[in-house]
Amino acid sequence: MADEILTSNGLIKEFPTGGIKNRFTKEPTKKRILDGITFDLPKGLSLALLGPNGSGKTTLLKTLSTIYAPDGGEAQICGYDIVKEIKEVRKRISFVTPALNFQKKLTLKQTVAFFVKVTNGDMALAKDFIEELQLDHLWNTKLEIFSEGQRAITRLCIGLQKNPEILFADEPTNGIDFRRKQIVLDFLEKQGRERTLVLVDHDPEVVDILCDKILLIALGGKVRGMVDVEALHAKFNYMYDIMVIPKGQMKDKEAEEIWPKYEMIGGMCRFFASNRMEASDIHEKIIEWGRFIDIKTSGISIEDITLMWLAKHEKEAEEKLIEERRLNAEAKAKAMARKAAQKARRNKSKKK
Amino acid sequence: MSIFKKMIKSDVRLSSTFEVTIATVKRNLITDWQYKSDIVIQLLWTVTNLVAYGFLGLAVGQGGGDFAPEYSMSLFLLSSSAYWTLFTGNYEETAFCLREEAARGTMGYLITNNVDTLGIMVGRYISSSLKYFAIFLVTTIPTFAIIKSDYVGLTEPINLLPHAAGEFFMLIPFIIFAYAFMLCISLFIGSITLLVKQTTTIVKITLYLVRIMAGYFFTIAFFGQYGGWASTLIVCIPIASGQFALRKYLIEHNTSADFFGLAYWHVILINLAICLVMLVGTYFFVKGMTKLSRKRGTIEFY
Repeated sequence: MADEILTSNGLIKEFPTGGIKNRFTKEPTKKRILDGITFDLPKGLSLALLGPNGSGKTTLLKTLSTIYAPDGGEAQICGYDIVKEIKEVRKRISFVTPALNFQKKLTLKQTVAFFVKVTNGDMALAKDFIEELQLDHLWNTKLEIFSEGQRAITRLCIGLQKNPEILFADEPTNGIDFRRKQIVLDFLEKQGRERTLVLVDHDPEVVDILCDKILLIALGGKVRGMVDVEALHAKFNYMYDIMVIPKGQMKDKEAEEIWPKYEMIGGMCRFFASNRMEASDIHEKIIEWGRFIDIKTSGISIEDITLMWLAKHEKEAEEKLIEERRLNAEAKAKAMARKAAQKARRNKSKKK
Repeated sequence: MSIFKKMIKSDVRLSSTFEVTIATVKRNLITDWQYKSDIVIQLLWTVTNLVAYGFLGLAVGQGGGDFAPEYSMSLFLLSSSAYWTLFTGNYEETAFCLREEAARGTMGYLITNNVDTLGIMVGRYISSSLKYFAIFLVTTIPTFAIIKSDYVGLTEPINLLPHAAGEFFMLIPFIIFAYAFMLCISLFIGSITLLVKQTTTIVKITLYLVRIMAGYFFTIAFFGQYGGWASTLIVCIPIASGQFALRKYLIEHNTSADFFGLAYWHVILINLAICLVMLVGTYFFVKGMTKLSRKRGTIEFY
């Protein structure tokens, strides 16, 4: 337990739904966004939260970073409870989101100075970061003329000037140009062992570089598992996908003849290759088959892998549910048959 | 030293509410100064109010009935308008400041750094009060000088400046209590925005109720017709005491006037007690609303 920087045990978050009338009823209706989130994150590792839209990733981030109060379960950050020891938690965390905006009439220096003051942060650290990201020439410029990328750097600067042990970040590199994004990623990667990152990011490159583990969250705010980024790559040993748009419909038999690892998505077919050679083979076979409008080959991203993994688990869960229902129905039918037989026996004995 | 080599601090201390308040005041003053056109508009708005109420007073004339003031309605309404220049803008800006922080997206960040909603609102109130005090000085006195001209038809000189130092010093505690009272009202209404975002009308209704109660539109003596105690009770409310004292001291120059049967020091002590109770009550109310909004997820939105 002591080696875990972040632990969550059955964390629940619900929001009231409906209008004001509902809020004054005895039992207001609520929508459960997080449903018993449980995981541990060892010290020195960084985590990405992945899942489909609406699965509660940002809500989890906000609940862990103490913006929202949980409705159930518990979580500890650096050993401190996020409800009972909220001040200790807040000393050690920082939360950065693309929604964080600023007084546009203030200069970068005035903005940073304000946040340094209210968070008791480190102005020198903020200045260093701004210099590192080559934004120091804008130090005395009002934020109203900043681009989205420059604002994203300002947000990160504000998040990091406090020197937090855990940085919670929602798409931290969103909008930053390629060159500066590399600098940001290098910067955060080099700090990796000192600072824990908990990210929500749809950019596979960011997750790949910065995170050691991925927490998979399914719709309904349930954890589907926590996986190592490397293990996930190994688990899904196909690294390319070849998307084919056929003329008319492609039959399963035809697809299987081209390559056995495939899936049908709408009218299209997606083949999976574990390496460049296989991808090339599949490509040739499709050209040989000839009945296609377009072919597109691309590398599989970490997000693809996680979503597929998630889908597989969802499918397994669904199959399990169907199986359970089938067994229940069978048991019910047997019980009914037993009862009917008993009744018949009783009737027979009565007649006798 | 390279930024990469710096160690992570473990003995971090969070800023106190006082530090947050000071930083917020500074930020707001810098920002407000950047919006110079808004300051000009506020100046014009204040002058318009003064002129409008001055002319309204002229149109009404001396006023009649048992509860009319012993001087012209122009003076009566001008003193209301001047007095409320000190409390309207800061009340409105404080009431909306949390909504603005939330819309700007800074709320989430500030909350995760233990920055108090109370500190943010008090900071806004102080900076706005300074701004509107400056507007009061710049607009009220020159406006009085202009309307004093004979051609607007006033029969008596409009001079709300104290004739003696005593009048000024006697008024100061009431103004301080009125600021404290309006701070509580601002915090109370401002913290409602943590749960309900559309509060513009609530803010206006509250302002008008407080103005009516404080004797903005008619004398506090008017309430006496509903029972002798009513005027005495209302004049003890800090914002109403200030308005009443301002008229007594600066228009009538009557420093020995009683407050519907209560002596000066009695009202001061009652004002003090009310302000203390309200400050404590408001503190817990804001804390409670913050807690509730964290629970309901309405504390910040984007």
